[in-house]
Amino acid sequence: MSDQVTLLQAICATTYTVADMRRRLGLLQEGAEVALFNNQTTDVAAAIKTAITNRGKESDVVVMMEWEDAMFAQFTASNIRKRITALQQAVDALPIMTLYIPVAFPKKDLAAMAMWCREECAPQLLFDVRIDPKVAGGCAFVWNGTYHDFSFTAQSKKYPGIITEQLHTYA
Amino acid sequence: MNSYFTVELLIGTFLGLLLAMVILLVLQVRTTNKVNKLTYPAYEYVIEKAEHDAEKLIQEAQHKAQSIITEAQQSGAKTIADYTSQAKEIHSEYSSALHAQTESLEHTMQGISSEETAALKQVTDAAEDMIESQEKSILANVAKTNQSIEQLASKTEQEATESIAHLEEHVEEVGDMLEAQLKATDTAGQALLKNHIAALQGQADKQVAAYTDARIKLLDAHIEQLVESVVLEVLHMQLTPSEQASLAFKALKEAKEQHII
Repeated sequence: MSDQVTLLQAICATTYTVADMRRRLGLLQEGAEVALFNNQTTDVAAAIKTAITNRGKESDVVVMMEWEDAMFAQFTASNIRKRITALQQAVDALPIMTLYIPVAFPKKDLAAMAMWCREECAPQLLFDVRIDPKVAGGCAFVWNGTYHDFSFTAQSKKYPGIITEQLHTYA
Repeated sequence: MNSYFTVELLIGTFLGLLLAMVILLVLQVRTTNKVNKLTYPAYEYVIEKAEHDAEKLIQEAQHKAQSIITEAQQSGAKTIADYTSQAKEIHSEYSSALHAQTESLEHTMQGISSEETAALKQVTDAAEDMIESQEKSILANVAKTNQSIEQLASKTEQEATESIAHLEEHVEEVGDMLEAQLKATDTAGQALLKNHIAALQGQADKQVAAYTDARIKLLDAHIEQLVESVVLEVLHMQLTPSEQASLAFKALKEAKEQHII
């Protein structure tokens, strides 16, 4: 169980969105199965990494290659199903914030936001990112089942007349 | 961009005010027509009644004066005719009496002497002188009577003139009174009309103010929508994804300050 927690913490340390988490878990499962159910495999960790490298996207591969070999080595042919299932259940139990953003943010910016949210809101929080151009100038999010809009449009509606007042000042 | 908004705002405001003025003008014209329709029959009736009364008074006065003058003329003519016939009768009586006496005297005195004839002639001359003096006296009386009749006629005419003048003064007083009443009615109507127009003006001002506020709010809402859409477009075009992420990060921090997360 402690290995399971350690594995989840390690994955969460470099994964901040639900989409990345599910894709990387799938890639991990696929790579492990390819490596473990191959009679020629001698080094399980190396074989899994190779399989992941051959099948995954570059962005995922770069992140997953930074995981320690011990994370991969704990998988065996007999426990891989059980571990992967438990891992998926643990991921499903993680706190999720649905985040609406106007454009796709760079990974580092999204990572910074996730890190801050994990410190301020909940550890191991994941973003469920949705693209919505209407929330430009800010963002919107669903937290604890409630939608909150902090976009420019929503903020301007909080202060009715401020735009026309500014226009009248210029006029 | 700012000037475009200003022109649009001015055009919208101008059109709104123009429409409100047209509505106000139509309301005022309708109100004036209604008031004229309501007050015109009363004015017309009062004026016609006053004219009718005045005409009736003048006709009565003229008729009365005419009847007085006619009566005076008839009375004078009758009196003169009576005196003239009386004088003629006296003259004819004296003439016939003198003629008869002269004839009797001539018959009587045919046989009397010349002295007696001369004496008789003297008596006859004296009688003629007396008759002439009596005739003069009668003529003087007739002239005096004519003068008194003329005085009576002039007095009657003067009284008729005074009566007509008095009636004219009375008619003038009635006319002044009617004119004053008409003026009072006109003043009251004007005050009523002013109050009515003021009330309508107040309602129209309120409607114009409400319409102006509604139009300004609608225009402001359109401007805000336009500005928001432009701002969104500018944000998408001018800001990099990293800058957008920075704004989103600030939004999350603000949510934290508001204890939403």
